Amino acid sequence: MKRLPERVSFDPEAFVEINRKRNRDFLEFLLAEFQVVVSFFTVHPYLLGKAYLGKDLENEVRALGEAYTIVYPTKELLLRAIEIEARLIKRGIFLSFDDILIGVTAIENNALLVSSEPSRYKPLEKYGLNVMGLNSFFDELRELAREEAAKWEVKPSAVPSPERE
Amino acid sequence: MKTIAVDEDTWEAIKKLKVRLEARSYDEVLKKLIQAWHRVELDMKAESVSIDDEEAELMLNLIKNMKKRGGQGNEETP
Repeated sequence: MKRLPERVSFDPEAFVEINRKRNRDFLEFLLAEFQVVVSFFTVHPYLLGKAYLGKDLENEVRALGEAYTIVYPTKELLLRAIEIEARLIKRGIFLSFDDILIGVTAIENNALLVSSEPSRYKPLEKYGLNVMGLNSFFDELRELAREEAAKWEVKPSAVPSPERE
Repeated sequence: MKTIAVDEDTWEAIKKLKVRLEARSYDEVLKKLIQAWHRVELDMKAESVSIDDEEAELMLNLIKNMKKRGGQGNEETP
């Protein structure tokens, strides 16, 4: 069982999965135990879906911002992504620029990138990316949740003696 | 151990809570309140970003279509 870092990030598909109502318990545990840092390009399809359904984007982005740290692309991030893109092309590898930006955002924020298709990001491991499959991540969360639950079990010796008012 | 000052109304409310929560100390009352607050906060955050299956499928389809349109992927040049 791997130990997870404090910061995690998601690609767009994994981000949609983690926000599904059926994964609500995972999401609450995730928000309690980790700092979730996501690229704007990760939340773009989520927001696009909301816009398509006629939802108020200001409200949606505010809610996302309260739950997650959204990283908007800066000039530095874009230039770093282009540098890596050029190195990849020299190796004969063509990734979409969105994927590179999502990977570079995770690298620059020391976050584990969780993806439903981790092989897509493998070329970025050479540049410092730590990537994990979504199913493995869910397994890790389950294990951590079990450990946390065990910690909170009340042991007789840990119960304080009654205090007088 | 630290001491905190509370006004009379808060003191009465916290005494009632101690009984209702079956807490053994005021420290335990505060710990339970803090835990409850964290749970409520997390619940609100998770609720505000949770999506139903219909929304999720729409978003996944949008991702697929954007990829098709981009025509890019992890492809190696010949």
